[in-house]
Amino acid sequence: MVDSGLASEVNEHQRLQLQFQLFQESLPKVDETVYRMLLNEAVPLAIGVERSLNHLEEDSTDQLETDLNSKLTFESQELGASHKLLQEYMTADQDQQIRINTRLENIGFQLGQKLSQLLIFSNNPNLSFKDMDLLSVMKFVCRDVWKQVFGKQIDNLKTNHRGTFYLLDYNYKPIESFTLEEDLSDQEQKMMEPFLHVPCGMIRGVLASLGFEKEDQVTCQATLVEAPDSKQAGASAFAKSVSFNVQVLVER
Amino acid sequence: MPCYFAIIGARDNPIYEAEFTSQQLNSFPPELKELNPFILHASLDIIEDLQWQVNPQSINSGSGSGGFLRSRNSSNNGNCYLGKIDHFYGLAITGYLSYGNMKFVMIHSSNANGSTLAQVEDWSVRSFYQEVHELFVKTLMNPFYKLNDPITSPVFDSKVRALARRYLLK
Amino acid sequence: MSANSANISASSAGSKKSLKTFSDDIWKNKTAKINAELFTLTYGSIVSQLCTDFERDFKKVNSHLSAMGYNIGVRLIEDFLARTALPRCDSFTQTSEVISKCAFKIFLNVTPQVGNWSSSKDTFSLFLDENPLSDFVELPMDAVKELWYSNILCGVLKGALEMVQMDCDVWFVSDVLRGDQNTEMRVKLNRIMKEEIPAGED
Repeated sequence: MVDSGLASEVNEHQRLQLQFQLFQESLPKVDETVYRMLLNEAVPLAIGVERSLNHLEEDSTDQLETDLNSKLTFESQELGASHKLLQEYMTADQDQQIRINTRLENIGFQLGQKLSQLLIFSNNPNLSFKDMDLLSVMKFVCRDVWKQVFGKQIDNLKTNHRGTFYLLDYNYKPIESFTLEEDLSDQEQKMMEPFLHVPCGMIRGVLASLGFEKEDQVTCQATLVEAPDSKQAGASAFAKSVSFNVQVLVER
Repeated sequence: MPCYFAIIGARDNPIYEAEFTSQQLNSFPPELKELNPFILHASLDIIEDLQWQVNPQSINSGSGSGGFLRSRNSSNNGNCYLGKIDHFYGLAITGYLSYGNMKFVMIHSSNANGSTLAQVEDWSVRSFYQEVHELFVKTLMNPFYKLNDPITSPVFDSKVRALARRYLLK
Repeated sequence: MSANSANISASSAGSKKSLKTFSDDIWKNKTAKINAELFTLTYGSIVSQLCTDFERDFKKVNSHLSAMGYNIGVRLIEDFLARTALPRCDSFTQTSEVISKCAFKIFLNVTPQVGNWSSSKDTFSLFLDENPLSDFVELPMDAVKELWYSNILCGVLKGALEMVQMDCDVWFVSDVLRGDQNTEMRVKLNRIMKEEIPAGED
């Protein structure tokens, strides 16, 4: 009797999972490539904004004149192509780099904050009100949020059960298409940096929307790491592993 | 029966408030009207206590087409509804808690001059809360709305009032 | 694939239908997809950050959105050509059809109506009945007259068209978010650029 009860419970859970999956599939969709490009293009955008704001301070009169031109005025040539903007990040001073990264974190934060509310509002059987402790919130990040945004789950979650978490992604999607050498030069590493700030902000945003919202309560830092041997199928897999170190100050 | 409804943010800050009255002149007496915010605030503690006792019911999802937000037919959100949580001189107070820690609270007054205890029809009150919750999540999706800021959108206001007419002021 | 391509260049009456079937097939069978709401939220976060950065100078926001789109467009066209293998368009009319029925369809799963052609046939409008960028959006009062919320689309189209040698201007003339009756984009062909000559160097 006990056995059969358990079995039906498992089946019920599976049924809900399946139902949720079907529901997810029935939602309106857009092309994934477009989404990846949009998300990645936020980085050169943030760099372009920085330049534009600096330029603004230097001579505001010039800028005003460009504004007065017709609606069709197009700044793209002036702002430059994405790869040039990325180069600009390398030559920017530290304050500028910090501002650029903060900008990207803010974009990620807002996304995380809102996305989590949307995901929770849907019929997700992986979530229940009662179990929303810190660990399950982190699992929610690894499983549901990551799956939505990057099309895959976090590969490994480590914790000391006292507010420190390591989220390991062995194939971080936004830098997947970048051609990287086996040994990353310092410069290449530096270039990756801003791409890691959007997800950092996103993680903080999810946590904030679920009650971990006090200022400086949550910090998140990402670093490129070596993937464990087992995952090192292709040579290129090496450089694309990212470790997100999340620190949460828990009261009590 | 007139009702006073408010959404309270995670930091106990009011985000939205509205008074629902029907045409037949039965609004809150002025002396009570001023008290409403205080009564609500007093009930926030009770909600906080209840928050950690809520048992999630088994999820009975009804998957539909459309976006996440169009999935409201499920009773998944049923466990947000706390029912009647308090009463105060013939006024009944009900509450609803969103996952992001937003508190939805309402004061229900009776038709007669406060002499009898206000009755709460759980089914319709619950429906009201659920639909407002959905409106709230939609508002949240607006990139120009920041979580915990007051909701000033007239669209939101008129939709909430329409829901009140449908579920509460019959 | 080649059969489909042949259909496109066939008579215009026949091609309209086949272009739709052709695109539907790509969307259904050859497109990796993500939730539209995620897309909407991400774009929203980007726009709102821009509004903060430029302290609500919406003209600047417009131009940065457009510039961002341009950088996407010049690369997105590669993906588009690789996936559709469409031949060069014979006319600007055909271009308009490919944009609405094919490009918008396979990337955003919407099909804007083409219309409002200028008499010289060098300018047309796209009417976006549905716009996955702007679901949930309610513009704040100060942005209603200034901000073109979906301006990224102008940049994408401009960038993509430029890569196939069409120098175009693309701009919004109305948006339901601003309280207009419909959402209308104008696409104007300035000239066909000669191949091998980089943009801006005649």
